[in-house]
Amino acid sequence: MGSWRLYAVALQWWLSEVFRVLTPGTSRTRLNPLLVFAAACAGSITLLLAPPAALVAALVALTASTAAVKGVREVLSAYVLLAPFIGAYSIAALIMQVVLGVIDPYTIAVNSARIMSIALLAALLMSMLSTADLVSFVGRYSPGAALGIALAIKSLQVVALTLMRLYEVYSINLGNIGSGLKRKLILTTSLARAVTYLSIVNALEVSEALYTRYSVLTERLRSWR
Amino acid sequence: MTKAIEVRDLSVVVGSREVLANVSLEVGSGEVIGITGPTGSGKSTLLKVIAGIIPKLYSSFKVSGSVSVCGLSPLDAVRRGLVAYVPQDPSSYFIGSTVAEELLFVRDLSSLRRYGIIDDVLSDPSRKIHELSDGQLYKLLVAAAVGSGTKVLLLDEPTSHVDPWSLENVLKLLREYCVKFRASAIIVDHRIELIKDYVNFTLELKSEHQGSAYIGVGGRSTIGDDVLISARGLRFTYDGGYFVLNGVGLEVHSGESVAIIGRNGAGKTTLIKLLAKLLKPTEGVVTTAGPVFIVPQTPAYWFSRDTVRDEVSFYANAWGFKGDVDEVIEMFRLGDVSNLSPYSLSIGEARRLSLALAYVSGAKVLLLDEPTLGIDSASKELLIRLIHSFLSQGSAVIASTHDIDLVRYFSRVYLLKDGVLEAIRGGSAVVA
Repeated sequence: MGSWRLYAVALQWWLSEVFRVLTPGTSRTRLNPLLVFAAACAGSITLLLAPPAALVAALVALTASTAAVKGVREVLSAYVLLAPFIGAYSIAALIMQVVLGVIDPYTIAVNSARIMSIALLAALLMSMLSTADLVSFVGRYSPGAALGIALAIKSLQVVALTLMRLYEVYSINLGNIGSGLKRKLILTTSLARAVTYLSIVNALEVSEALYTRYSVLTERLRSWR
Repeated sequence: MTKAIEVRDLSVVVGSREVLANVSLEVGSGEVIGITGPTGSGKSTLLKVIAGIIPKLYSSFKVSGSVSVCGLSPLDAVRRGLVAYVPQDPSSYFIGSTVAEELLFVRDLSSLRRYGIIDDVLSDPSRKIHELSDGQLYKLLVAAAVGSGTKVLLLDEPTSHVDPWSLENVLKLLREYCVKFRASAIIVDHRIELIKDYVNFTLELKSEHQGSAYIGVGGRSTIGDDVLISARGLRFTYDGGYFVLNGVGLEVHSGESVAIIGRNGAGKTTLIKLLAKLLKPTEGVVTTAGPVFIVPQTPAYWFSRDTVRDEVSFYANAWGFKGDVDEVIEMFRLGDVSNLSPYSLSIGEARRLSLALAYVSGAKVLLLDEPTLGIDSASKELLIRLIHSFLSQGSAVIASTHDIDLVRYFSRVYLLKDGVLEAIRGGSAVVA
């Protein structure tokens, strides 16, 4: 398998994992939105302040919990989603350390574990949160915010789906040009530009539809108070 | 009696271009009307003016004349929740990610249950909106409209997303809704032949920019001996259970065109993706001899450059096109919009741009997924000529389509049913 094909397959796999992780309410367990919010805040602060030894334990516990609640496949998806970000952080941190003359891989590893545990916690909590519950909960206090949350969650999924569909088209229609790094660069930059453009167009289309629904929607959300 | 919609001498100007000129229209309660016209004739603009979106959200549009909706100004009608505007992609209308979330925003669910409008959609409220079929999306849309007290439904190009079989059900549902709830609907679409039986009357908008399409066809195509794409024993399942494709075999030679027809969900797009090697078959093998180009059904807008000209130039450079880019732009009737962003094009223009990119690619295998959705008759003629152009240069063309008229132009036609391809002798046999 050539490096281009390997790159294309890896990118496609990563995009499908992104879509899987960003879908809320995938677990059968449901938690109250207030509880999820409190757990997210308390858990994130604890993980930020946790000593390295506790961090490893937390990472193991979160991995096991996610596997129990969502399944082993979901744990893998979460790690796949995080891998490029952790990789980019580690490389950037290492370059900085080389520039500053202080090589400290231990700190990089601890910080990576911290980022991964917080992200795993978020993925775990998101899977136990029903957007419908969240929207009705927030809607009692702020109809506008509830509408914003519903749209934000929908947009996340739409962008991930758009990215996957565009990738499929680009990997074929630009799969024949250049070679090696140049080809990957053209594909990646073109894809990024197209996703940006298309996301803006989608947002505009949603805004136009929402414009005619807004008064009814906010009235409906206010009625929950 | 107050008309549901009254438009008098409406004109809309953007910059120096007059998009609409002195349009007048009346729609009564319980009526469904169709508005047709070629790409760029201002159909969507008219809908957006009635919905109050223009000039409220687009202040550069200069609007003159009068528009009233249920006896109110468009803005007041919108504020009272009397109007629903549905963009070309109906999923954009929905706010929730699932059916259950969407129904949270519906004021009155009892009428939906009473009339049994969405029983099948309600049977699984956890279903994701993007997983619903087009027919179900429109059912949910009507449900949201009924439950929210909407009196005017404005639909922009529904045929660009709904296949002809689902469209019939969607239009019947709309008609029933309008009659039962004394509501009104305007359907803007260029394929009036598909909607004419379900509307009270149609209005046609003319365009000054309508030109004739042309592509020089380089001689008669002859079917060669060399196989450009071959699929053998293809079986495919998404989830390890039901086989969407169950033993598909296909060989397409140079200069040969193949059309694949079938209902929504038959697996046409899956087959196209397998032929493009975007999906790995569960069983079987696909081989191609030469570069492939795909024109997707969705997204219709898949471009990455700042202008139409840049987009065509980018693909011309990428594929080593030797001809003149400006000629290609004119050929596909994109001259007027060549300096605009591809994302500002109408859906018909965007489809023409996709065809222009396919043309400059000169690929050995051209895959078209529902190429006629959203295009007018002039653009369809352009598509047919593009196919001939590919065939005459020795390429192969494979298209999945709902368009029974289009299949007449293909060397071979197959019906994809129950996961297998059945050979059809000509387009008329399909209708029969």
